[in-house]
Amino acid sequence: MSSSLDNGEKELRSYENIRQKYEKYLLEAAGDYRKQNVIHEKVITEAVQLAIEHTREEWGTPPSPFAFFVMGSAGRNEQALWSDQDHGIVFQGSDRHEQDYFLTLGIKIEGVMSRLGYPRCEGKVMASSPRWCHGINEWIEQVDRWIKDDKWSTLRHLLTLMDARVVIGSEDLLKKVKKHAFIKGKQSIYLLKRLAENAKMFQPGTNLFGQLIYERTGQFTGAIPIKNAVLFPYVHALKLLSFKRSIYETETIERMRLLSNDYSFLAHKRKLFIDMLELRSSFSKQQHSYQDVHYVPISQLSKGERKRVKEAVKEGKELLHHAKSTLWSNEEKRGR
Amino acid sequence: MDAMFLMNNLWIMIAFILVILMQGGFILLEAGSTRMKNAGHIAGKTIFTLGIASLVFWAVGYGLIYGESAGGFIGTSDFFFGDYQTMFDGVAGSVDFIFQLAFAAIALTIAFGGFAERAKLSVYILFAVLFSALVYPVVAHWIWGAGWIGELGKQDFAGSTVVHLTGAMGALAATLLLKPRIGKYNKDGSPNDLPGHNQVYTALGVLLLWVGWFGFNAGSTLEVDGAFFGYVGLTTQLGAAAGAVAALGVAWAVLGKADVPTMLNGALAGLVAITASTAFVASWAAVVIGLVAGVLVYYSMQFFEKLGIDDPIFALSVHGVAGIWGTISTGFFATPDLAAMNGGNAGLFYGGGFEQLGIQTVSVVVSGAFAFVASFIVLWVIKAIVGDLRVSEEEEITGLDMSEHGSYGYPEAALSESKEEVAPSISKDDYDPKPGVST
Repeated sequence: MSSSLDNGEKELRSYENIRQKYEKYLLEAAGDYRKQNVIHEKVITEAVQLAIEHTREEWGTPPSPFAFFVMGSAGRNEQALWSDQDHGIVFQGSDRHEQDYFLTLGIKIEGVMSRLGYPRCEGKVMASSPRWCHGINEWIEQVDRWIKDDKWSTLRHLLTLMDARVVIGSEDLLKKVKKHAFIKGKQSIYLLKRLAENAKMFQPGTNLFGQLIYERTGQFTGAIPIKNAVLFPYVHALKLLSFKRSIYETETIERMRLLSNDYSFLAHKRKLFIDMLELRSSFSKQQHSYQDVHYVPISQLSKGERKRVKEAVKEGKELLHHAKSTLWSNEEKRGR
Repeated sequence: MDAMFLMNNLWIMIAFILVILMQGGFILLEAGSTRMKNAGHIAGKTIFTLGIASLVFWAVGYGLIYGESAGGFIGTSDFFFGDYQTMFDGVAGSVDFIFQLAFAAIALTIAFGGFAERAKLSVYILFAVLFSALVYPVVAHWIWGAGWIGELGKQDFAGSTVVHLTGAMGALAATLLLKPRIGKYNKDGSPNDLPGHNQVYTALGVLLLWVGWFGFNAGSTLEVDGAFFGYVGLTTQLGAAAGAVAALGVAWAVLGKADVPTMLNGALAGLVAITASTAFVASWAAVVIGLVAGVLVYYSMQFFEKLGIDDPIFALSVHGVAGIWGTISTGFFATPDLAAMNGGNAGLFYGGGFEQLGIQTVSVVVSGAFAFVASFIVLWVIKAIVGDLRVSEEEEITGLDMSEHGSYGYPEAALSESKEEVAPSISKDDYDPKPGVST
């Protein structure tokens, strides 16, 4: 009993050590969001491999080939210093025979990542949840069901899946699921419209006078909600366009590069988006929790930075508008 | 009996009932704007302090305001009013008495806005007595009795200064002495939103006040002859409407969202502002006065919050700042004809020069300063008597329903949860106002 407690403590301490080690690297990379994402990727990979080992020890080897994928900001390689968990599993085989095993693996992954400082997803978008852990056929059936149900929540799930990126395992498994969704999109303008309705910008970045809107109350008083007000319009716009054009790439800037020939309005947006990611990343040293990374204190922005943020908000709003209006048009090059 | 005399009295009686009904508006407004653990207390204290205000007004208030003036500073006769024979300004003395009583009670209820969610019940009781006897009657005598400000030709038709500013100054003194509610400010001084528990109550409260305001303003004509009350009703409606529209517009323009509490405060600010000027200004000016009040109330709410002054019901902005603006506004907009009808001179924009503007400004400063200092002293004395103005930290977290009255306004809600859950999830040291947003 005592020995198992000791082992548990040791295990916990070792996780803390890993987090501390990587946090140091993450902070050193402040301002370089790409480097921060490379570090996150290493941590997540290590965490998942650790969870696979633990599961293998208790339940034996995985019953079939599988792929572990991340979604949300991790899927898009746009994580800040802190990031929550958004992940899933797709396996070769069926839910009836293999889901229990992979759900157990998902629970292990959730636990390890949580100890490593990645808060659990409030919406339960995690491989430990049956919705996000399926065999290939059940995944395809679920996508069909999401589209058929045609609810705000099910279409939200579909959009979340569009940012899925494999970290460990075969990319082909996930590609098959996405391909199925893309085909459905090509068959239905209605689906595209519904997805566009789902991707709404909830927080305006600037007010009627062109000033940046900042938080008036709460712990983020005086800060701008950079994630919701500045970055999200770009993310959602590119997610929608990529869905229409069957782009498997998940990074927003890569999506922009791949689509720039088809959509003239994407010109110059890439640089602005990168600029905003770097701006947020430069505040890493002041970010102490997952909530912190969504805000940037306006008082600490230089005049030039404020101007750039305003421009990014304006361009982002236009981008989302263009993306939506182009979504169900066959003349993407119109307006070049 | 003369038909006109009878109609005058009936009209003022109806107006009195409308103004008393405004207390219901304040109950809904204040309870809706605060948390449910204090709702029963807020509703209850409004009723019993109305009782206290009525008794004090009967005993001394009316006499101090309308009794024989001692040098223009205070009335000295007509205490313990019980006259059913005297006629005053075309109405029976008793009718005039109860109409004026309703105004005194409104000023007290406004002042209590600054006490919300943390003052002891005993403080409410003592303040109700002392404010109704020593603060409100002095200002009311100066302006509406045979007082020195009234003699200068001050224009305050229904009480932007007398009722609203005086009440707001009481609220300011209270909120400064009581200090902010637990959880209102973080350690770094940044404010938190402590949203009210029922926006529908708040909106209904505003509507009830709006309706009652026709008794407040139009009733202040004190007669039906010439049907001037209709014009007062018109300017009142325009002021309120413009206030609501302007406040919503400015919140939308600046914050990017159509904030409902700000809009509701805008309607009230429009009403407060037009209260002084309602009988003196053209209809277009009533719209301008309301619009300015609506914009002012938004920036005033932000200003007090930044300053670290916790104003739970926004009494300082709605009744104080809008009251000041409303009073001064006649100095700009009073028309010569209406000034000739109702007293004072034309405003600056009608060739009246700076005279009326000066009178309005000086009177608002003097009245406001007196009301603040007097309220502050009254509260300081109360503090010396009861020990502390504020309930304990535990009582505040549990809620004043339970700590001051022993039962919850929403007992089912309270019983269905644990004590910790009924209390807010906020403590002085640990406050996390916003859950994380997930992609």
